[in-house]
Amino acid sequence: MKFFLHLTSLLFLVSFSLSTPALDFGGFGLGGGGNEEEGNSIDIGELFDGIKDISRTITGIDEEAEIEIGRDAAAVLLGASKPVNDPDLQRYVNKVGRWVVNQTSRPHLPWRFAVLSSDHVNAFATPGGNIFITDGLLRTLNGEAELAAVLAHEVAHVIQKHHIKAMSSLNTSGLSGVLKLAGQTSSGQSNQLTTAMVGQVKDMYLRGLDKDDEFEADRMGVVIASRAGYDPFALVAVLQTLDSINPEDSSLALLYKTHPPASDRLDRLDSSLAQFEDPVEESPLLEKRFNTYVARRP
Amino acid sequence: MRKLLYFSTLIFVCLTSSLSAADKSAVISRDTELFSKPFKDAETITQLSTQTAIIILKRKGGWYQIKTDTNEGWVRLTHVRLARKNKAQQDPDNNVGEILSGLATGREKSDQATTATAVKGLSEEELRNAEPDVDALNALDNFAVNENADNESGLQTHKVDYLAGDGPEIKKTSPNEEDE
Repeated sequence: MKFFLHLTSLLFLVSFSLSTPALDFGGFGLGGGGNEEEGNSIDIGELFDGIKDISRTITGIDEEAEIEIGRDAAAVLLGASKPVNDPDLQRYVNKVGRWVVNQTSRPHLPWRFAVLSSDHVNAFATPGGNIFITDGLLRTLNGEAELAAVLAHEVAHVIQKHHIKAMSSLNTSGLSGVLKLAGQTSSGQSNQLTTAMVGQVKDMYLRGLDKDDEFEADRMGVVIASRAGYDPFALVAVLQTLDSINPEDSSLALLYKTHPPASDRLDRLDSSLAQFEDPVEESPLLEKRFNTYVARRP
Repeated sequence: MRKLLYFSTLIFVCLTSSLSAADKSAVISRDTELFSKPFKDAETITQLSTQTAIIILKRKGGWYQIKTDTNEGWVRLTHVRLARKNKAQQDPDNNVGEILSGLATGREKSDQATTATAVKGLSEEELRNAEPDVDALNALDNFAVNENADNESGLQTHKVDYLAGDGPEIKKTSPNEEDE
């Protein structure tokens, strides 16, 4: 897996050195370094410096651009599945999600949470704070802590800008290519996504994120949910449920195409949970509102 | 039986987490200890080896209360795997979500047999064919909750650090970090 990261990084390096630094979006720095100009032989030290540069570049992406890319991505996902027509449910999921994101370093983003009327078992995030959970996944959950666990995993992807990274690795011009596409969409034809941008977004969601980023989102999600006062083991319970469903089930097809198997995620989480020995008591209030808005729906 | 389950669920609600995985079959996924109580310092009843068949009685935080053919006690949550179920095809009356959420909430199980029809929405093909829907995106604003909204959950926050290597907070060395 590390090897893949290195390869991706190499791709980044090459693409950055090929593309001019004159980018359409202002406000993000390429960071220091500049090893990419050195040319032919890449030694390990340079490679690591390069990795640092790249992660700095992505974390330093202008927030407005990040939000704009995320809106494009969200519009595409909503083209595949609409929100469930249940205002009480949608409001409830936003309340839970808002409480969760307020425990992160980026509460100021325009966070939007929605349940999509899909029977597939899946959840999605887009840059800038759009989080979607399918009705199919919601219906497998037992209690608000498990909902918070799923949302917190997706929130972690946003905090860490994992999707920007994934899109950049798919674009032949790296991050600058993604920003260019996003710029064309927002400035050229307002509210009209370019075909290229739509294609880029679909490509990313069909391929999924880096597996290590999924594991990181699991670990961070557990911490975020725990900060919010939820049972940190709820994510384990969710993954155990997923693990118990036949992986050949068609409702899991896209999830497993784009995520590590639930059993691998459980194995990885095991050591991360040692610090959460004290059991968290779930309040009757949470049980009541989860039942009202989610479990006892028609 | 269902009523009984419902009431026992209600009784445990305040004490345990909500996964009332009552009488669910599972296996031990790695060699582990069976404890008398849900604490790591509790007395060890016996050792359980990988693939031991168990029945889960309930969950409490990071622990399942379980029984084997000969013993009853507590094991670490992460050392257990639930028995595999077909979600829809093989076992239409017992799809996993229905079983779990039905037990946890007292919800009546649907009488309709779920058939193995194509699953709609957000399949690979549907995503490939999706036309962007900006109106649906804008409509999400109607349900957004403000950063300063009251906390209605009654939950207390805790200070918990990200694990080493994760998260923005520990990467303070980078000047481009926007985090507080």
